[in-house]
Amino acid sequence: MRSQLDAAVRHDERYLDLQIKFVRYKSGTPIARYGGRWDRRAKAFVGDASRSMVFEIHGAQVEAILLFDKWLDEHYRGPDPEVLARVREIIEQNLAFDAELGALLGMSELFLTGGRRSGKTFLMEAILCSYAVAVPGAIVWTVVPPEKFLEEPRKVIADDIMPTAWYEYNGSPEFTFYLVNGSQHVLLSGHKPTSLKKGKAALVGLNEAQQIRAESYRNARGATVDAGGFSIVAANPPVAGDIGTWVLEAATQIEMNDRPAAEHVFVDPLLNPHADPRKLLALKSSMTLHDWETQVRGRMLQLPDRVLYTWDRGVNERPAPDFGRITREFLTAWEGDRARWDKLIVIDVQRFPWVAVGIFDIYRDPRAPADPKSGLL
Amino acid sequence: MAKRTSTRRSAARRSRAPAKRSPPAPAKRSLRERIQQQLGDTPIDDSLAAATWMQRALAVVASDVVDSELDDDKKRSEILKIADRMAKLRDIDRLHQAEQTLRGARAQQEEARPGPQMTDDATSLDTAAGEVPTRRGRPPRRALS
Repeated sequence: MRSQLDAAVRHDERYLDLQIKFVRYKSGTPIARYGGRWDRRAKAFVGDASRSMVFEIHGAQVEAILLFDKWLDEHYRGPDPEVLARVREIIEQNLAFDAELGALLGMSELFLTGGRRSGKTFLMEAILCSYAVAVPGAIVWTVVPPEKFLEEPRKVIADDIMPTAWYEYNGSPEFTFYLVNGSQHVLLSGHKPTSLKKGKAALVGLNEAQQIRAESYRNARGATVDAGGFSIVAANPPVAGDIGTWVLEAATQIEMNDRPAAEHVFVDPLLNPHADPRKLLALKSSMTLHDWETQVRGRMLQLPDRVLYTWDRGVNERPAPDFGRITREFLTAWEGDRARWDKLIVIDVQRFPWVAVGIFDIYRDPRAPADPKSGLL
Repeated sequence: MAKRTSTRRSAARRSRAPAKRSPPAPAKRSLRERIQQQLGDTPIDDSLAAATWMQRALAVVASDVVDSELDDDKKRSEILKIADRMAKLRDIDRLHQAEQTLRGARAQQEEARPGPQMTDDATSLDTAAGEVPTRRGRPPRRALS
């Protein structure tokens, strides 16, 4: 009864402060501001609000908010017709992506990775809510693994981001926050990929994405195409048993500049002022090195059942040199032409962790380019 | 004479008839009654217990089908239908949704939480690096071709 009376009072007020502001932690330097004073009668913003939900954000969180702010600015301005014409040409002629084109596409994916207690979920929900607040009538989705994971984002939104005067939340089975400006923030299960094929959204965020199938992500991304939006992926590095190993591949592709229109922000838990580093360090003695590096430090390492269990593709891999590949000539010069030598295979037989096999190519040595017996491994 | 005999027979038939019949078989109880006897009433205040109760009830139905005089193909078809319904009951999303529905109803009766509080925003957003604009409003709808 009391909540109904409160709701009635809220709805009688014509104006409502509907504004979110991000500032730097400690210094308070403003970073971005969304929304304003909402007029319920005119159903429009009428200037700035005198009060805001103010969020102090740290290190990498600032980088993510600036990326979102830049994207929203471009979103308001709309796409450049020349860029659209160029993209159509590339699709029709099936041309390859290049770095120049990637820069023209804008942002369509934002990956937020890091260890536990780094603030990824809050950051993702803050971006989704900022869009829902700034753009009246917008629809945004939060997608979780099975529905039992809905509680975490719901609590973050209701307890940390949006005051109760801003929305009505109907719980099961819609799990939707209906904002006063007509926007909707929908919480969805990503357990069944097909359930994400229906509907449209401007922004889609995946929480705990390392536990969500790649098919679910693909379908959820499709929902943003009409509005020209983007998707946010908040994930811990996948470990053995997680079905979302695509997150590892995607983050690595971005680090290697091989995934156009995607951004990757590493959210370091050590920079989270609300996480006690003593408690993080205390976890170390009860973990394997791999678990420590991935689950606490947030490093994107290969799964632990691989031989190269500390291999980080983003750090340890680089494009091959442009000196010319001479694998066959090199091996023929050394071994004769008894076989068609294509690769050099190196085997390291060891008892622990497992036998390692490497497949190598030989590149021309620029110091002796004419000598087939000289090469770079 | 004939009349007397006839009368006597008739009387005898009347008196002996009940003795010749087997005692009346107890009426077969309905499926609903048998399930209630075996499993008790349907739990209505706990959705997860209700789902478990439904699974056990379906097992009773399945045993009925196995003992029935249906031909094998029909039995197989009916058992597959029951198995399908049991699988749906075990679906994690459906179970969770049922539980959430119950929790949602309870939560609505509880006092609403206050939520986060707003703070005065009288500070200027003019920074040394330049003004931070406030972004709001619908993006313009543009034809893309």
